[in-house]
Amino acid sequence: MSGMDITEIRNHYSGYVRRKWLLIGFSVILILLLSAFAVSLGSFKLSYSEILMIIASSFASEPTTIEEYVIMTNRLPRIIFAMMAGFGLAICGTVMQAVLRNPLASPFTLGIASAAGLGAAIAFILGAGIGTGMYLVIGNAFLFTLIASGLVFGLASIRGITPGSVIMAGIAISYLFSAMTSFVQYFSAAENLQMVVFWMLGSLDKANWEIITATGIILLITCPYLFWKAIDLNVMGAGDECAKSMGVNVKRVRLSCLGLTSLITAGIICFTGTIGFIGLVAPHITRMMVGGDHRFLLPAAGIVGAVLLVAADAAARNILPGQVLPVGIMTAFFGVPFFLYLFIRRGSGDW
Amino acid sequence: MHSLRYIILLILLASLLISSCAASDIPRTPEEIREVAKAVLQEEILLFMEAGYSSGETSDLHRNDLRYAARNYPEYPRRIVDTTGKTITIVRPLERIVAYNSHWVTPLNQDEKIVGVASSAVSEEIINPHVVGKINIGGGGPNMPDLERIYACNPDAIITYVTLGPGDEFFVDKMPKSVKVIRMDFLEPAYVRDEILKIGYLLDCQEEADAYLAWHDSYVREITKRTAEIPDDERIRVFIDVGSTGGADRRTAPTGTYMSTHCVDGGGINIAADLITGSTGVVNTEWIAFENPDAILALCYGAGYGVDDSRDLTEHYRDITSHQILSFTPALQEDRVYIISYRYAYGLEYPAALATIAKWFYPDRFADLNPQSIHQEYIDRFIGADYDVTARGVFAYPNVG
Repeated sequence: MSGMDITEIRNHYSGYVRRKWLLIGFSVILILLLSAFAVSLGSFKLSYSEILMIIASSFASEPTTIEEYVIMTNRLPRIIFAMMAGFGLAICGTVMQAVLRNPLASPFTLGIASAAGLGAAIAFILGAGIGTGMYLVIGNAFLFTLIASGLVFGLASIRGITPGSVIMAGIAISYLFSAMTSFVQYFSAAENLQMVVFWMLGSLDKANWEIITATGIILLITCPYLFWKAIDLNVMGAGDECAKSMGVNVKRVRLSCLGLTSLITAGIICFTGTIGFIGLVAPHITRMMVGGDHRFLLPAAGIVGAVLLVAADAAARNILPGQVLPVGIMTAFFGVPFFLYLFIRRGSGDW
Repeated sequence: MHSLRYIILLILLASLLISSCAASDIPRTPEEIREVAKAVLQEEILLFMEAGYSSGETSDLHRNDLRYAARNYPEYPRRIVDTTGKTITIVRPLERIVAYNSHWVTPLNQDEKIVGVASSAVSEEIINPHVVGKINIGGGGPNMPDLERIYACNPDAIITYVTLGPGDEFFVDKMPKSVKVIRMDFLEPAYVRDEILKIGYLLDCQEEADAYLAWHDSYVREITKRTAEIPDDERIRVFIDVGSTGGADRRTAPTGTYMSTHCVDGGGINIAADLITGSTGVVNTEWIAFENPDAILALCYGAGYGVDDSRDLTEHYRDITSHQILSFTPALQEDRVYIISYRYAYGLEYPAALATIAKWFYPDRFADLNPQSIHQEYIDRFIGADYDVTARGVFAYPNVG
């Protein structure tokens, strides 16, 4: 290969990388603009300058006026939490699809949604669990997701933590926890059942600064490791044997990635209820735009997830004046058309 | 848009007219009962003959039914239209009733006619003396009753809800045709009078029905008469809260729901009355703060007759008052957050609950009302249980005398 060719390939690769980063940069700008727009939507009509003043003044003092409470305790926490939840769930979905080599994998493949649902149902219906008040449901959902993950890993490890064994164990645990949830619901009063159903529809209404801090800490601890393993995830896409031959400790990467995605998912859905769609579709949407290189795919999918959830929540809060629709429904309304558009445009059945 | 409103208004007016006509058409005296029986019997005999000889319209009654109807004439047949609009014709006294909805049983003194009751009634035996010795058919809430236990009751009628529990696909489709399935709620203030009159006529307990309605009207009419006199600009604006999943979004009750009726009858203006189509909807606390309600009336799915600590109600109260964004509303600033147990607001004791709500909303105008004594009067006169509402049960927070 001549020096000219190498330079050309290098330039081509640099251009390829630049385009990816540009796309990620554009997505970051998009999420910022969208968030700015979302924070201006609501019953109280506040101008951007007023909103900026309120945010600026909040650094110096606690909210005192109703407008300050509207922004600082209602809209802003909700939007920031939507960004974090969308980001986290999308990254989890991307990692799960990579380590399990399955396009249908999502954060809920391990039975996490069912487990969180059972935890919430026990809290609502039996009033039992860890924590009190709102934190009873959150604590239970978190605890049960971790129990489900532990069970899946325990079962899958018997067969060597392969994609097949993890998925099979996940399906089994998912059905088991779903059945247990139905069992608890069967003996529930109608009103408690309604609470469980509302919880399962998903909502960002519990967002507050404490929850943002807790979720932020989980993301800050876990995401750098997942980003660091992006190249390993690329290699694992070629198969376990191939990855092993290239020096990747497949079992360790798979186990650590699954463990961390379980932790992220548990840390998010215990607050939001089951918003499952983001983790399944955001990676596919992003893959169609930036390709399958996880160095770019992971951050880009996270931002696309954030965009989807912020947009869905803004619509859920404002599409019917005064009312709030379930955000889980809105994410599907937003994501599916976009996904189908890209799917048809791309014209390939590969994922 | 305007024409649509007019059409809706016309439909509402028509339905009100129809319901008031229907109520006034319910026979009350022996003469009226005989007249209806005569007309129904004539019609059914003609239909039966037509069906038999001319392949015409099928009769509602079969040969055996007509035989019973003739034998029991002039007390029977009796005919009503239940709350779903279905025509119910009975040809003899109902003696084996499965009361899936049994709110009416003890107040109308019909305990001896009941053979089966729902689990939800059994669980409140303390206030439902009619359940003693009856077959528990299960069900209640979201759970389905046990069909085989209903068969075991060998009922001649089932009385069940319109808005709650399983519908016709469960009861009608799976029961022999001879079993009359009558659907009435006995919960919704807007049509509870009508239902009491109809059940009184159907089960031949008009005196008991009249006694209950006299008690009901003495309070409800007085309260609504006084609230009707309140000028619009003096009416308080109320947010109705029917719970949340622990976050900033709250569920509310629009027009057409029991709680909205209570609020309006109590003289309040439901701020979400026309916001939502359907029986429930979710709003954000920002919207509530923006609407700036004078009071918050919350329905708690807890407390009631069998509960002696007010934790459910106080937790609901704290859940609402913990929203800092609501601290700017007159409702929180003037401490006008009221929590009422569903077991008090939904049922034939509801005039007491309405009195509680009216007194919460307008303490000066209703200073002479004593909701607890109204409630106790209901227990003593219509339930007959040894139950002191001032010493037992938890129904409202904060309590009013």
